[in-house]
Amino acid sequence: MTVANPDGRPSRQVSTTRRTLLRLRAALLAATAVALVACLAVFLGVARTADAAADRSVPAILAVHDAQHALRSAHAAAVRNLTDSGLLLGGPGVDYQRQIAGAGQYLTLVAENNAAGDGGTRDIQTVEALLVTYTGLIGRADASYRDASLPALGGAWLRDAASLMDDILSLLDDLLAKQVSVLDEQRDNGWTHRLTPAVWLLPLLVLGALLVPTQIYLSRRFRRALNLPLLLASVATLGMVALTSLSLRSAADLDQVRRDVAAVQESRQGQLLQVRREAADGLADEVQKQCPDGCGRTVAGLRASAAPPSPSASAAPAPPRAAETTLTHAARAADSNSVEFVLPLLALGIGVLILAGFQARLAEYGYRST
Amino acid sequence: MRHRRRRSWTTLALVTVLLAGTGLSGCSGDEPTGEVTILASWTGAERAAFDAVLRGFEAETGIHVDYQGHRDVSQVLQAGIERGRPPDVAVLPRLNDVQRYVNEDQLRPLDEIVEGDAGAAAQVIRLARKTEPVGPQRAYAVAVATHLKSIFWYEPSALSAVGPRQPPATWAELVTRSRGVTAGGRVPWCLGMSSPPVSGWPGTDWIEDILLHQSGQAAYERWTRGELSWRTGPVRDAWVAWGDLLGVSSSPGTARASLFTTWADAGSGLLTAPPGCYLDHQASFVLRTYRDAMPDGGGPVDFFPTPPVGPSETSSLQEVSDDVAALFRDTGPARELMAYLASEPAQRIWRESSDELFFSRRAQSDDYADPVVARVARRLGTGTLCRDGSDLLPTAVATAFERAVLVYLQDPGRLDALLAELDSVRRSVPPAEYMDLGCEPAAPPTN
Repeated sequence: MTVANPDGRPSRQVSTTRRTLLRLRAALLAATAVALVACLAVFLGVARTADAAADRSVPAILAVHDAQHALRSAHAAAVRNLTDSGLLLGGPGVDYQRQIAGAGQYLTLVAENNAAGDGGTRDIQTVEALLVTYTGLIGRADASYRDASLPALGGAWLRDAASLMDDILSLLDDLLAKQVSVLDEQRDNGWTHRLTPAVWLLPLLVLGALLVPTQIYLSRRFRRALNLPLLLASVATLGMVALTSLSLRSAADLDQVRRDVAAVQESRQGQLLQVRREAADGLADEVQKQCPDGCGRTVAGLRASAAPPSPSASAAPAPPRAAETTLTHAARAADSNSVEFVLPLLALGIGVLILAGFQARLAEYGYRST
Repeated sequence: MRHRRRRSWTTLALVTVLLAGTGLSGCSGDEPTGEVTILASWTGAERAAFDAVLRGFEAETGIHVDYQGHRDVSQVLQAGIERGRPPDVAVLPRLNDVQRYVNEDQLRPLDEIVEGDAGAAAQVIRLARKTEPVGPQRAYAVAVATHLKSIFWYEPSALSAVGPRQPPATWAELVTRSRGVTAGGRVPWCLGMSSPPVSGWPGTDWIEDILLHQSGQAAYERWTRGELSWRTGPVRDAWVAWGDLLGVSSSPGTARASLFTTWADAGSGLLTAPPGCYLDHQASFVLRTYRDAMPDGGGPVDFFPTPPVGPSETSSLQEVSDDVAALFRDTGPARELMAYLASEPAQRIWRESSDELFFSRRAQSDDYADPVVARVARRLGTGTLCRDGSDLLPTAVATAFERAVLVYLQDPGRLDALLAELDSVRRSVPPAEYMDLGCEPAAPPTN
C-alpha cells in the first residue's frame, strides 16, 4: 500500500507481521550460523587432539615400552650366553642380536612419533649414543671370555655393561614420562574439558528455542497446523546435537586410552623387573664365580638389584593384547566419522529450510499493514 | 591552523617511532635473553653443586640454561655432533677431545670472551688446529674445575695401627709399608678399577703419576706427545713399579677384585671398621666419597703427596686433571655462559655449593674450613702442574691404555705383550691427534 508522507512524497509502509517475520528469520539464520561455528570449532578441536594422541603420543609410549623390554631382554640374553657358553663357539647369542636390532627399530619409531619436542629428541639421541657404548662393552666382554686367561675381565665388562644398561633404561623412563605427560595434556586440554560442550550446546539450544516459538507463532498467526520446513529444520538441529555430541565420545575414549596406557605400563613394569632379576642374578653368580674373595660388596649390590619385585608389580596381570586394545581405543577416539563435513551440510540445510519456511508467509504478508 | 596540527601529529609519530626503536635496540644489544644448552658429565651431588652455578648465571643474565648430564659425555657429544645437534657448550673430562674437535673445526675460539679476564689466564687452553689447513694457536677451552691427582689418601689412626705413625715419605717407605700390611694378612690398597663406561682410568692415573715422579717432566711430556716407546725405558719402568708396589703377582686376588670394584666403593674401605684397606691413590674429588661414607660431614682422612719414585727430585711435580668447557655453537647466550663459567663469581658459587670440594687453576683464597681441603688447594697453587697423561693422549691410545691396565691386573705375565700392542696403537695414530700441551707452573693462591 502506498501512502503519502506529510511533506507530500509517496512512502511504502511495511506491515508489522512482515517485520516480525523478517526479524524471526534473521534471528534463526544468525543462530544457525553461530551454532555451526561453535559445533565445528569444538568438534575439530577434539578431533585434532585425539588425532595427535592416536598418531603420535600413544605409539611413542608403546614404542618406548617395547624398546625397554627389548633392551632388558637383550642384556639378559647376553649375560646368560656369555657366562654359560663355550670358549670357541660362545658369544652374546642370536637372541641378544635380535633384541638389540629390535630395540633400534623401536627407538626409530619413538623418534618418528616423538610428541615431547626437543627434550624428547635429545633423550632419544642420548639413548642411541649410549647404546653404541653398551654394545661395545658387550663386545669387549665377548672378546675377554674367548681368552681362556681373562674370564674375570669378561665378567667385569659385563658388570659395566649392566650398569650402563640401567642408565639407558632410566633415560627411557624419563622419555616415557615426557610422552605420557603430553598425552595427559591432550586428555586434559580445553577441548576435552567437561564444560566445553556448553560452547556448542548453548547455541544449538538457542536455535531450538527460537524454532519452537516460531512454529507456534506461525501456526497461530496463519492458522496452519505445522510449518513443515521449520519442523524439518528442528529435526536437523537435533541431528547437529547428536553429531556434535560425538566429540564427547572422543573425549571419553581419550580417558579410556589413558587408563589403557596406565595398565600397559603396570604390566610391562612387572615384566621388566622379571627380566632384570634374571640378568642380575646371573651376573651376581658370575661375579661370585670369578671373584670369590673381595667382591662381596659388588655381589651384594647385584643381589639387591635382583630382589623380587614388589607384590603389586609382580602380581599385575598382563592384559591380553593390551597394546593393541590401546591403539584401537586411540584410533576410535581419533575417528571423526566425517562429522566435520556433515555439520556444515546440516547447517546449510537448516538455513535453506528456514528460508523456505518463511518464504510463503512473507509473500502472503507482502506489504499489508496489519 | 589545520596544517600546523597535521605537522604536530607527524612529529609525534616520528618521536614515537624513534623511542620504540631505541627501546628495541636496547633490549637486543645489552641484555641477551634466550636459552643455552650445556652438556657435562656431572650427576648426583656434583650436578647439584654445578646447578647452583647455573642458577647464578640465570639470575645474572636472564638466560635459561638447559643442562644435560651423563657420565658417557664423550659418546653423547659425538652423537650430537654427527646429527648436527651439538650442545651450545660442553664440559669435557678428556682434553684430547678438545684437540680432536679443533682439528675437525667443530669448536669456536674463545679469545674475545676470555681476554678481558686476567684472572682466568691460568684456566685458558690454547691450541692450534693440527690438520690441514693448520691454524694459529687460539683459546679453545677453559678449565672450569681442576683435580689434584698426585696424592695418597689414608686414615691416620688406621694406618699408624699397622706401622709407623708418620705416613710414608719416600717411595721405598711406601713399598715397605704396603708389604708390611700385606704380611699382616690385610689389604693395603683401596683398589677399584670399575668406572663404567670407561673402567681402567684409576689404573692409568697410577702409572702416569709413577712415570712423572720416576722419570721427570721431560719424559712425561714426550710420552704424552707420543714420542716415547711403551715397551722400554720410562713407561715400562712405571708399569713395573706399579705392579711391584701392588704385588699383583703375589696377591692376584686383590687385583682381580679391583676389576669388579668401583673406585668409590674401594675408597670407602678406608673408613670402614675394621678398615677394608689402608691407602688410596685417588684424585681430590674422592673427598666427596669419604664425606658420604662419614655422615657426620667428614672423616679424619689425610693425604701425602706422591714421593719421588727414582733418584730425581720430582716432588714439585703434580699430576692434575681438568674439566674443560668448550664452545660448540657461537650464540650470544653461549658466549655469556662461557665467560661466566671462567669468572671468579662462578667459581666462588661453585666452591660454596660443593661444600668447598671444588678446586680451580684460578688463584683462590685458601681460607678453607677443612684443613685437609685447604692443603689440597694449596698444593694446586704450588709447584708445576702436569695434565693427566691419558686425558692428553688420543682416544685410541687412551682406550687401549685403560684396557691394558685391566688385562694386566688379571694377567700380569702379559705385560710385554700389552706394551708392544700399546706401542703399535701409538704408532698408528696420526701425529695431528697428539697434543702439545706441557706442564705449567701453578697459579699461587690469594689471601
